[in-house]
Amino acid sequence: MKGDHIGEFEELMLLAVQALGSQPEGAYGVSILLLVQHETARNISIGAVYAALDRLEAKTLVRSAMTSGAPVRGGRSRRTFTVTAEGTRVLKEMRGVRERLWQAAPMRPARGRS
Amino acid sequence: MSDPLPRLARLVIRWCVRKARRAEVEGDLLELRSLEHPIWRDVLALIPVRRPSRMLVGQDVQYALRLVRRQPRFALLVAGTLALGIASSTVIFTVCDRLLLRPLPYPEPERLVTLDRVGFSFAGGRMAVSKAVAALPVFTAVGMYHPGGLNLGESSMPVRLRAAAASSGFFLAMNVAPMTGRWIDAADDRATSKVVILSYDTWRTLFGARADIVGSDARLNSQAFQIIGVMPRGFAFPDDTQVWIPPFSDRQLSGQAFAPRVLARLAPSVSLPQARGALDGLNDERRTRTPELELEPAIVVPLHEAIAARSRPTLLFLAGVVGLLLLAACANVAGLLLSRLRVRERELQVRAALGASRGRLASQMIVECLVLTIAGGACGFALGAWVLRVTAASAAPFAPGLDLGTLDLRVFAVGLVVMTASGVLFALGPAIAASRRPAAGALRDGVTVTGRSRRFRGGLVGAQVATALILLAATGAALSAIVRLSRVPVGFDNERAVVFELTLPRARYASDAAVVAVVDALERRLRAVPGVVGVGSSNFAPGTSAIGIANALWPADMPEPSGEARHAGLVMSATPDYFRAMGIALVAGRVFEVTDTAGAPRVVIVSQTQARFLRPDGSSPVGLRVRLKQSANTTIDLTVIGVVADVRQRSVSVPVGPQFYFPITQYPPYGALAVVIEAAAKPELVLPAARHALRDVDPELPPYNAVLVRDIRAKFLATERLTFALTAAFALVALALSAIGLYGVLAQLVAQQGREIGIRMALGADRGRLRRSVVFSGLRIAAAGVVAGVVLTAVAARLVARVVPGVDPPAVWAVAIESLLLLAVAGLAAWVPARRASAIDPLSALRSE
Repeated sequence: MKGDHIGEFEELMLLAVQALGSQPEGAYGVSILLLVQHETARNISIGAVYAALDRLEAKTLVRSAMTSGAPVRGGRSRRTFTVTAEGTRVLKEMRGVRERLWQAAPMRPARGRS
Repeated sequence: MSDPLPRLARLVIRWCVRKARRAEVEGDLLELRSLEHPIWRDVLALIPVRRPSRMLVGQDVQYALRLVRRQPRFALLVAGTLALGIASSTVIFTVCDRLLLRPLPYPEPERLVTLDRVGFSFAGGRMAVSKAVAALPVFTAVGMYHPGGLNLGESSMPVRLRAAAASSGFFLAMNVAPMTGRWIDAADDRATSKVVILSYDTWRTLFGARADIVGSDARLNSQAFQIIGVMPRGFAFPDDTQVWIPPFSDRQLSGQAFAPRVLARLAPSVSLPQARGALDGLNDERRTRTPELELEPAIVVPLHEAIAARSRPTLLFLAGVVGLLLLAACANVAGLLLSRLRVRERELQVRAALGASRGRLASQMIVECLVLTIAGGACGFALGAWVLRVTAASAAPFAPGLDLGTLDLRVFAVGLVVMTASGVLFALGPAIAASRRPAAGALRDGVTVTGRSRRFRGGLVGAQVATALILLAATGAALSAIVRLSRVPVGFDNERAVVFELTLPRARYASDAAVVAVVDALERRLRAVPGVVGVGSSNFAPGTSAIGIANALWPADMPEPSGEARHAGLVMSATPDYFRAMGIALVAGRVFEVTDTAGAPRVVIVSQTQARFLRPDGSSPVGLRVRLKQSANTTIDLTVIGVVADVRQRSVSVPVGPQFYFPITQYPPYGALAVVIEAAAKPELVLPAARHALRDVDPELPPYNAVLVRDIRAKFLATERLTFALTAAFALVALALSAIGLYGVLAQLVAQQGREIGIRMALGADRGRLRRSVVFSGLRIAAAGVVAGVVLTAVAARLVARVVPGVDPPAVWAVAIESLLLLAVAGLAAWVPARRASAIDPLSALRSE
C-alpha cells in the first residue's frame, strides 16, 4: 500500500511516540521534540514535529487525544499521541527490512583499533 | 501559572495556526520556554513559507516561452509596444534629467551663478569686472569669459578652434583642478600673457596626448602661445570650448567680446537674494556719487538655469508628450494581456479545478508577463541607446557641453517598472478572479465574458484614443509653429550663394588700411574664380558665429535719446556687393559704392526698422543726417544713403531690432569676416576653387563654417523642426497603439460572440449589417476617446501655454481634422474583425462551442 511509505524523520517520530507511550506524561509535542533532539543531537523545531505527526496521523499510523493542561503550560491542554496497530506493523516491517540489510552487510572492524 | 508568551509570538500563532490547535501549540511553547529552550526559532518556523520551487518557476518560464512561440504575433505586439514606450521615454527623460535636474559636473555647482548688468572697469582699454563687484564678500570668486574662435597652426591648413577668453576669476569660480599644469592666474590677466590651457579632448586629438605638453608652444592666430595646462576630461565650459586664453591676450578674440559674461561663485551659505542685495547696494553707492547715472538692477541667475534656459521649454514639452505616450503604451500592454487572459480564462479555471492554488496561477501569470516585459525592455533599451547615440550630435545645440551619449539606467529602470507593474496588475486581477470562480460553471458554460470586463477594455482603448488625439494636436501645434515661423521674412535670400567665415589675424592685419586692403584683395581674387558672379563681405552675416555690437543712431538735429528711446541698433559693416550677393532687398536710396572710401564723406545704410525709429512719420530717411556716439565724449555725423530690408541674424522666433551698416572702408571689421560668394549655378561647386584662391592671398586664412545661404534659414528653425519630428513620431506611435488596441477589443468581441453571430446568420441576418454593427461598436469606443481627447487637449493647451511660452495653441479646425483622422484609423482597425465576423460560417460556429 502506497500510504505505508514513511520518511526517515517520520520514522523517528513514530519510534519516539512508541518509546514515550510507556512514560507517565505520554507522547506529546514537547516530549517528542526533546527525545528526538536528545537522541539525534539535531536542532528540531516544534513546527516540524507537528507537521510530521500530522502526516502520520493522516496515514493512520498514530492517533491523538487531548488531555488536560498542566500549570507549567499555563493551563493549556496537550495532545498526546499513541501508535495505532497499523503504526506498530509499519515499525516492525521497517525494522525487519533494516535487520535483513544489516545482516547482508556485516560491518568490518574499523582499522587501527582492533 | 507562567508568564504569557510574548505579543509577537501570540500574533504569529493567531495568524498561522488553526484555531483548534492554538491551545496545544501555546502550551507546548510555554513548556519549552520553562525548560529554558529558546523558542524564537520554533515560533518563526510556524510561519508557513511557500518557497517558490525553482522547478516550478522554470516550468512557468518554459510555458511562457512556449506561448510566445505559439502566438508570436501577440508576443511581438506586447514586446514591441513595451520597446517603443520604454525607448522613447528613456531617451527624452534621460536628456531632461541631464539637462534640467542633474547638478552640473563641477564642485559645489549650486554655488555657481552668472551675473548680468554688473559694473565693469575699463582700465587701459581692457574691460574687467569692477573691483568693487569682485571684492564683495558674498562671492568667493568672480570671473569673466566669452567664447570665440582661434586659428591653430601655421601650416597652409590651420585648424579652427572653439576658444574662450577667460580670466583667472573664471577658473577660481569654476574650481575644477587642471589635469596637469596650472590655471590662468591674476598675473596672466594683468600681463595678458600669451598662455593657453587645452581641453582634454584637444590635448588628445590635436597634441597627441603628450605627457610633457606643459611648457611647449602652440601657434594661435599667428602668435606663439605657451601651453600652461590641460583641463580634466569632460570640462569644456562654455559651449564645448577647446582652448582657454587670458582675456585680451589676443586682440581679435577679445575684439569679439563687447559684453563678456560674468561668472561667480557664491560664498558658502549665501543665497541668491543676498547676492542680489549686495549688488544693488553697489548700485546705490554709485548713484549717490553720480546721481544722473541710469543703473538697472543686476541679474543673478544660477549657472545651471542659465545653461538650461534655452532648451527648457522644448524639453518640458517633449517630456509631457513622451509621458502621454508611456501612458498609452501602458494601457495598450494592459489591454493586450487582459484580452489574452480572457481567452485563457477557461484554461485557468480548469487548472484551478484540478487543484492549482491561486498563488500558483498568479505566479504563472507574473512569469509570463515578465518574460514579455524582459524581451520588450531589452529591445527598448537597445533602441533607446541607439537613438541617443545617433542623436547625440544633433542634440548638441540643446545641451552644450553635456555628455548625452549614454542612456540613464535609473530612468530606464523606472520606465520598465511602470510598464511591468501595469501589465502585471491588469493580468493578475482576472487571474485571481478566475481561480476564485466555481470551476464547474466555467466548464459548463464555456468562455463567457461579462459586459463589465469588455467595458473596462473599451475604456482602456478609449484612453489610448484620447492620448493619441492629444499627441496629434501637439504635433499639429508644433507644425503650425514651423509654418508660422517659416513665413516670417528673414530679409535675405539667394539660392546661388554660399557664406563662409574668415578670421583676419590682428597680428598681421594691424591697421585699418591693412584690413581694407586684404578684404579688397580677397574679393578681387574670388571674383576671378570661374563660376563666381559676385562677392561681398560683412563683419556679421546671418547665421554666422560672429557677435554683433549695438549702438544708437539718431537724427543729428535732435538731442541724444536716452533710456527706452535709445533703440540701440546692430552695427555692421559691408562691402558694396554684400547686399546683392546675400539677397538683401534695397528698399530706398542706394547701396555702397567703390567711391565710399575711407576718406569720403561718412555714410550709413539703415534697416527698415531703424528707418522707422529715425522717421516715425514713415517718410524716407534717405539723405538724413544722423549722429552716432563713438566714445563717451565724441560723436560722428553720417548721411543715410539707403534703406534695406530687416535681416534676421540668428533666429526667427524673436522680433527683429534696428540695424545699420557702414561701408567696410569706413568701419573695418575687427577680425571676423563673413564672405558671400554668388555663383552662376551651383554655389557648392565653387567652394574648392574659392578655398584655393584664398590661399593665394594669404595661406594662413582658413575658411570655416561654410554654409549655403538657403540653408541658413533652415538652421534658424532647427529646434522647431526637431521638436516637430519627435512629436510627430510619438503621435504616430500613439495612433498605431490605439489602432492595435481597438483591433484587439473588436477581435475579441467577434471571437467571443462567434456563436451569437453564427445563430444570427443562420437565421438570415444580413452580412453587411453585421459588419456595420461591429465597425459601429468600434467607432463608438473611438468617438468616446475623441470626445475625451478634445476636452483634455483644451485643458492641456492651457497648461502648456502657461509652462512653455511660444507654443501655438492647437487650432480648432486642426483638432477637427485630427479627430476625423483618428476616427478613420479606428474604422480601418475595426474593419478587419468586422470582415472576419461576417465571414463566420454559421454551422462551424455553432459546432465549435
